[in-house]
Amino acid sequence: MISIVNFDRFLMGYTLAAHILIVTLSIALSVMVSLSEFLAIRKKDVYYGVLAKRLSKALIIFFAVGTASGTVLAVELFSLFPNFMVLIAKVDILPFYYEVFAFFLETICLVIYIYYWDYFKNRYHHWIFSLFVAAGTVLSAVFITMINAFMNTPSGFNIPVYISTGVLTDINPLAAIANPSAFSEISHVVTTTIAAGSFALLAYFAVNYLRSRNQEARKVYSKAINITAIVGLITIALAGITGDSAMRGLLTMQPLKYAAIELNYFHTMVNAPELLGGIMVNGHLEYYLSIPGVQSMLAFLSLNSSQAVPGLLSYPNQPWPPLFVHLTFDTMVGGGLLLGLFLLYLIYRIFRRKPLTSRIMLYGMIVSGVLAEIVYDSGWVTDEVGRQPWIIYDNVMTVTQAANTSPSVIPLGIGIIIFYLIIVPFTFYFAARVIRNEAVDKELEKEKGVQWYR
Amino acid sequence: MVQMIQPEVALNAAIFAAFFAMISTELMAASAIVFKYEESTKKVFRFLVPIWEITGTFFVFYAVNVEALVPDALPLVAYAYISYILIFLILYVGRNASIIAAEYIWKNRVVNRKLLYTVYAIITYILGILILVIYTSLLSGVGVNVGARTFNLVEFISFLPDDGFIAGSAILLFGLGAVFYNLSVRRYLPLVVTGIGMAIAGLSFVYLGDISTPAFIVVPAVITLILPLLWMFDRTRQIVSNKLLFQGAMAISAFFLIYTVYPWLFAKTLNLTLLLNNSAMQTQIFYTTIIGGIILVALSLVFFRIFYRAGDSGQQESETPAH
Repeated sequence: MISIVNFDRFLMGYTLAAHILIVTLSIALSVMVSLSEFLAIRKKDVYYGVLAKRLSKALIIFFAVGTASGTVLAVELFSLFPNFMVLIAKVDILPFYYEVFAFFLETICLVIYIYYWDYFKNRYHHWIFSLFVAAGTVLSAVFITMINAFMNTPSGFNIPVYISTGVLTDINPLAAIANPSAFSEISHVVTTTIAAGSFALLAYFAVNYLRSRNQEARKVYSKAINITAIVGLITIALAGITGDSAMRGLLTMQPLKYAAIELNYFHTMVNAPELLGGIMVNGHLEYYLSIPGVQSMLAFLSLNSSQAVPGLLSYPNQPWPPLFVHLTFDTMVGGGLLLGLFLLYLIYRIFRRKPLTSRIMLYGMIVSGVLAEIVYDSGWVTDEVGRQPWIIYDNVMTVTQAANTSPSVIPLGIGIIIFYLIIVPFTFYFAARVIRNEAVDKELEKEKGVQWYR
Repeated sequence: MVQMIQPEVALNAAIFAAFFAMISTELMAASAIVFKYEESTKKVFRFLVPIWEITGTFFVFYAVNVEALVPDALPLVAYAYISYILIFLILYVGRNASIIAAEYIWKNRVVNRKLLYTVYAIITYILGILILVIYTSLLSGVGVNVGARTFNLVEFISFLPDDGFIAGSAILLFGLGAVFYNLSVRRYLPLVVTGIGMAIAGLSFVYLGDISTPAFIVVPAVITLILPLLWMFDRTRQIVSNKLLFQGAMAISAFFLIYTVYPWLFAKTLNLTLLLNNSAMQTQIFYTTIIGGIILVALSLVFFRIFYRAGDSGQQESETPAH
């Protein structure tokens, strides 16, 4: 029988995963809408104009459901983990508070951008609102990641005193915001989120290109594929760089998590190998491929470093996180690498002025869209499960100490789970249907009739 | 004697007042949609469709501010109201999904725009009731066991002032809806309905047992009655139909209503000021609220400027988005 604590944990993870699905698209859409409209104005190109309008419809639908699922998470944090939120509220609630204003920026500008589209005579004035929408969306992600960074590397209060007495002293909210892992985590989350959303959009455009028999529609999707591929390549390259930096940060800030992620089944090791795959069977490592020296090389950026990487056996008295995080980490890195290589090839074709719309390329985009979501979710699982059993690392608070143990959580939590099973697929279906509700020819005619294109 | 309010609590009350002004426009819209759908397509949707997203943001604003203001109260709220909070969350997602679907739904025999807006309206009613149940119980304390951190709904509804405050508020907002959205009803009707709602809610509020500054009740009472009164006359109707002015009046009413009970909760058994957050955090929250508030006011002014100018130029008259 599942315990209430584990149910809280599952409910939070489940709603977070659903929210992530929607939010990656919202963030990527906000960037793509802004870029499409800019190109439409700059090049006086009606195809980009149609693209911007179509994507903006999807953006507001995802925004509507995404804000609700975000609110669900915010309220769940204090209702499912009240003791956690008490600590956060006393030490590190400022990022939540900042996020509210980023949220206002995003909401009010999105409302103006969508509902008063034709109000602006100067199109650049209209486009500026899309920039604010994108800024608000990205800033929301930045601030919420600050909280997650605090959970990984808490600061801004006297931790030894808190661990020994449970009393919060020497509180400094600004120091809590500027915690050691904040910058590396924010930069990694923002870039990976836009990258994952871009791949999902790329897949959507590829599907529609394949399904469409209308040449005008294909032209719209073809342009969409080109700009999405460029955004995807830039963000996934940055994601690789920031991810590498974040991983090296773990060496000093969360060594146990690092050891679990790398599946380092030793005390410490110089010139440590990189393990691909691998699971623990009866206290022994099985089913893995070992590449000598590579882990140390990546960790210290040196071919023959004398420094040692931490291992799990250095922490025999602490509960280790579940070791499957090594597999999710491998999935994230391996999948991310494949995605990057695929995009690199697409960009090479763009520079060689070759089309990206051959069937093999389009199917590749569809596969990469699915893979990107797996990679992105694997990253979050690695980060969150790798911190277990702590909700705030290290020894500050466990999930069990933080959780709401009221039995009322279970029946209504099941209600939320069932409701999400309906609402999330509905959102995707509805947005896709709304986008293609009007024929492209008709939209192009409308767009060509707009005064400012002439 | 007037109890001096602490700045951080005053800010929290002001944020609640702003949130109340926003949510009340939706509750009033819900009545109009259910009872006067055709008229709503012309008068209500022009305001509701762009604004409902902003209401949700105000809710988050208020919720986070409460967390920052009284963190030690969170376990009590989380345990006592967990069922209502989770129901609220399901309905909140349903609210957003139904209204966005209503905005963009294509021609469909089974599910149409009217049905979806009606679903939205009903969900909004229930959300309003849930919020009122939680707030009223915080004031009266009936049904709440602070030590055991539980809430008993049967006990709550058995206390007449609890029911009266919720029912009176609903009637009051029903009456004000005709004023805010300038609906075609008999001139005297909003005043009569609002008056009845005010009498029930006002009396119930007094008997909830928390009032520390009774004189302040006059402010919401007068404001709430003066709006439908001015609406009766052609010369003053345009003034009270002004959305900004109306919402401002609603916010001032809500602020003073909160002030009447400050600093008590649970029928004067719990002093709010004893639960306030540490001073380091309060200072940061105070500055952030001021700076963020200025940005929010600026954004709101931009929105209303475009809202009015677009209205003057004949845009946004339909129930569907601009493109």
